[in-house]
Amino acid sequence: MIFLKIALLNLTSHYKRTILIIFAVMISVFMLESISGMMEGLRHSFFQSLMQESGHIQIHEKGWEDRMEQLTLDYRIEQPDRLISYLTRTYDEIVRAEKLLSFGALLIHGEKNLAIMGQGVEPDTAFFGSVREGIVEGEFFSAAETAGGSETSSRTDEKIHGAVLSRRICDLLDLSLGDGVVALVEDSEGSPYYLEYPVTGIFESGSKETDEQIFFLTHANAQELLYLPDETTEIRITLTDRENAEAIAADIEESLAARSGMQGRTGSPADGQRSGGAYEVATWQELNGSFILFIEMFDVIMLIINVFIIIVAATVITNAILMNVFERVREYGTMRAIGMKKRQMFWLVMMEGGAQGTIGSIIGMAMAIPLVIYLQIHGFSWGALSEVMTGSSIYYFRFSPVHAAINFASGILIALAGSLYAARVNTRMDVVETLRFN
Amino acid sequence: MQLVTVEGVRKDYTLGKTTIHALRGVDFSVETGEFLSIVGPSGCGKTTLLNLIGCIDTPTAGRITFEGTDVAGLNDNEEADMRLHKIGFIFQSFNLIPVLTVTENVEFPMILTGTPKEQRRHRAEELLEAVELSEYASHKPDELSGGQRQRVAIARALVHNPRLVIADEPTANLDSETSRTVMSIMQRLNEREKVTFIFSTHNPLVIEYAHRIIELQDGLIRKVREGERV
Repeated sequence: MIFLKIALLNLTSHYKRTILIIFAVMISVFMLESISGMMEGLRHSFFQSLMQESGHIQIHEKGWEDRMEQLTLDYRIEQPDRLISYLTRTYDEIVRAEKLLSFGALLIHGEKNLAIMGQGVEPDTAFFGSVREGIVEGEFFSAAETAGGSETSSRTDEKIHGAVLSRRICDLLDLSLGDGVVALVEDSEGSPYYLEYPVTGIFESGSKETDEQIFFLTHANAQELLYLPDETTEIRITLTDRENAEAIAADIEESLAARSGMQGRTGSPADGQRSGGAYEVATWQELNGSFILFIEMFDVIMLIINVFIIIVAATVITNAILMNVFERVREYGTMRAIGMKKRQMFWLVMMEGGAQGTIGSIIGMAMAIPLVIYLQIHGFSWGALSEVMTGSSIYYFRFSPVHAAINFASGILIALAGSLYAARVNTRMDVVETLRFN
Repeated sequence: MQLVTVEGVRKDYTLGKTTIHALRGVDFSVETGEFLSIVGPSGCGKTTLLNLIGCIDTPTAGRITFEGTDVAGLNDNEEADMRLHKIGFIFQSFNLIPVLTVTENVEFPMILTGTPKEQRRHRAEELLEAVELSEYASHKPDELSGGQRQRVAIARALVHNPRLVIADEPTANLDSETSRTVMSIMQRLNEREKVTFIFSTHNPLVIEYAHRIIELQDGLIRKVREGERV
């Protein structure tokens, strides 16, 4: 207890150096926690955005990956509902499986038109969260709306529901909620076809790319517009755990191949088979390889920055503690002359470092955690970089208690590492030498 | 009864390429309860000799025994234990721990021995009373005068009932009046506590308190004589 008292009293009696050491620990812990919050936010946003953009597994018709035209309708899955039903029955790990229909369209309103990507989605889709949550006027295909559309199409008698557009597109085409917008497409048979949809929802997703490039129809309306009855271009799957995607994708491939009597990574299910059709099953890792590599590279860069912070902090702290120890060599020598053992002396110095590290870590954390939580709630913009990394112009941090604990411990360990050297130098000196020290 | 024996002790220091012969072969013994003074000019080897007897340095040659134990054979921990349990130190510059109070400074050796708080507090109070510093018990060393600090150091040196107290020029930083006070206290405690004292000094005023005086010169004993106290 007296050693702890001496250690703590020494901190106050040499307050200038103590402040320097605590400041160095505080800054390093603050930096580590901020970077950690940023990285966690990045990962969380990235994977959330990934789930929204790609799901964990996608199934397309074979050849889709090597298609020449991005929004081609040449690769299609027949009877997608039966395939989805089969998959959800077979795999407990599948949380959600949806059909999606991506197509190119020209949106026309009055004299203005815009070439854009159309996305046919289930009205209750679990994807495109930023769009669903970013609705600023109207609704995103509400249950009431999908239960009964206002008109019916001449081709399939499918009720016409609304179109959901971004505020940006509405501004470009002079559209308001309730206005009619014409979607002109080249349908599955290569014929031009158009239908007019009322604007029933306007969104601001937070992503410039999404706002400028996509509009939404219900999947049924998109099928009708493109003349694709009972066909789709993609089945998107969400799993209970994204880490199982590789294994489940492999299993799905085998399962589909077995059902169609084929082998390998492609297959053709008996229920959903179309002439000459086969399937490509891709995991989120395969679909987002370059982004994952980017995240990994970012991780490495952040690790280097963290190591740099730790080295700089440890150097400053070691130096300050060493000076602190050298200032008190005679005092330590006296204690040893009286009978204090080297081991006790070692722990006395370590205790001082530990106390400084703990105080610095507490202050660093007290500053960093509110900042991380604030940025977790409000986010901040890094402009284009935020969008590339997270799919949103706002970048959100994320607080992780585990990382906070690690960073807190790191601050203490940095101070202890600095003290370790000083303690070793101190205990290696002869008592006589320390008593003569000036 | 012999408490300490010093036989043919030599001590050399190497400073760069120069070897300094601090002690060139010293022989003497110290009896239990003795009040022994080592005198001599600066650089004659007084402090070196005290450090060797106090187990904080080792001789280059020769043998020192403490209660019959050859101190050269002790490892670091054993030396520390020897100092902690059997030897008390009084330094020229007092060497108190600045962040501790007077009582805590006095108690410090007993803290290292793991003595229960009540027992050590009682012993510290007893010694502070003996050195007439009871009213300063809660003061910090920098609130005391030089003489008061040295009296605290004396109390600290005696708190754990050592067999031997080594005092290296205990009055060097004190005025003559304070020196007399300090020496009187040391003398009283020597008699009361039956503790052996070895102290080095230049001060003729201090020498008069000794039972025996060993005069050192150039690392050798020049003369051993009885003190006025005898």
